[in-house]
Amino acid sequence: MHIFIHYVLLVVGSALVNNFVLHRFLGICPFLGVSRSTDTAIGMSMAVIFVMTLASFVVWLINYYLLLPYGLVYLQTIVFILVIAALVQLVEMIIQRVSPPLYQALGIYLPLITTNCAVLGVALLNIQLRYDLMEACVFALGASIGFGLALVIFSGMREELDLGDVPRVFRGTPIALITAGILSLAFMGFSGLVK
Amino acid sequence: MLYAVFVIGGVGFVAALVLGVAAVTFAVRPDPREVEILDLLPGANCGACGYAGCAAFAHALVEDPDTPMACTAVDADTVQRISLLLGREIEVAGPMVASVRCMGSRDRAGFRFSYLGPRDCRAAQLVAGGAKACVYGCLGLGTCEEVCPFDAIHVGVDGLPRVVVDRCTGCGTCVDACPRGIIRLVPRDSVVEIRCVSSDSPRVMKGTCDVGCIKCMLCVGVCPFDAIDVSSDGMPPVIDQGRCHGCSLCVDVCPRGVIDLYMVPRKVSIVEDRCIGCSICEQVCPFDAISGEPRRPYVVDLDRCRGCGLCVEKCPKDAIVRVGDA
Repeated sequence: MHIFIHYVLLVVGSALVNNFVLHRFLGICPFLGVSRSTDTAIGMSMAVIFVMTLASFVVWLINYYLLLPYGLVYLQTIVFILVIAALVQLVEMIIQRVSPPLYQALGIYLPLITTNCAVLGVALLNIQLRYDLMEACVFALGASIGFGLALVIFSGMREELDLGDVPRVFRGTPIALITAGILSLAFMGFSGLVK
Repeated sequence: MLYAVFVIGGVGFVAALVLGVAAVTFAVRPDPREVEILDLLPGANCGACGYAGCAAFAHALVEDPDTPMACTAVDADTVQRISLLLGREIEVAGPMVASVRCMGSRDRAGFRFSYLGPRDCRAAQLVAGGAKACVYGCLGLGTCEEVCPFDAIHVGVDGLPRVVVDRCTGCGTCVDACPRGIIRLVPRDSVVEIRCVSSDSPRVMKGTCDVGCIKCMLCVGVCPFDAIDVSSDGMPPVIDQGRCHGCSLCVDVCPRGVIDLYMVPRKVSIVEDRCIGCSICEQVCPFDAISGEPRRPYVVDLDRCRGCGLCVEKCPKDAIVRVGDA
């Protein structure tokens, strides 16, 4: 029971308190790029949740069973990028064959995630924070849910903004950035919730 | 150092191996027709068909038998080959072109007052309903010209826009921009068009325009193809370009000269060695332009032929050709 509560806190902490997008400022490019409509935002979120959790699992194994024994921790970044890219490609092939509907739903977002800094970020953080394998996966799950949450909320706001009477100079990206800042402020309210 | 090389190289090698194996094991074999159609499509991924690129459109063509040939960039020959591949006729959404339905140039239709505001039809329309005497006619300030992304419509010195058919892509931007709804899209191979949208009675029109439709309905009566639709709300009749065969009888009969000819109708002739004298063409010709004796080659009276092409469609031996074709 105690361990279960630990995991729940881990998810809440990574999803809300230390939200990847709004607190750690990771994955800002897809946050601004695919937040024009809620549909695409949901597609992207699903793909990120899937890939982030899987990548954390694989990368953790690579780190502790390959890099650490040979004293190659300084190669973390480059090896992780390599592994994540290959993994995403592999997953894409398998999904395309096994579940065409899921492939259609994830669409272009799956290969896009290959270079998502949030995925690499969570892999590196897992090592820095010295999580064990289970903790790393739960942390990644929470982080990706947090990413999806921020993305979907933000896309909803941007859809409303399109209809709103925005001053001419602020239209488009400027007002989107201001909105993102205010959303980030709102998420600051969670700080201190989990230590 | 050596470890680093081996580990990175090893990881890369394993990843490559796994991906290579997966590419073979999990290869999705698409419908071969899909691949071939994709080769035939332009590959520009312009999205004009409404699908996310040529691949998605090829997929839709193969999967859904109701998909029309929405690609605007393929020629008729390619469409033919694609329909052969699919084993069914595919419906072609032919290229469209803008058609300006007003002939009230400066000298033929008067003005009620002198408009000095912005040179924009939409602005002019707001000032007492526009300066033109006819409240349906073209204001001639060139808003259509301004919005046209292809530089395909120009207002001439007579104050009427003219469409450059070769440049017009049928995008419909001018149709939406015209505040009086004068422009419509018609198939590019249209031959005739009724160029008036006024629902004024002939009496009102007397003082406003010399070339307005007076709703005499002579064209409707004379059309052998029933291709001119009568409007119920007092609007001029409208040519249904799908049914129009371009015989241009209506052009001759119109007392006001409102019906305008895009193209000269192309008359037909019969190739003697192919004609078997079945008399089908004689029966279908609405103008009695074909005559002859059974089982002998028939002949076309070019003075009577109006180029509707009905006989060309019906001839079982493909023995009738348009004059000018080889």
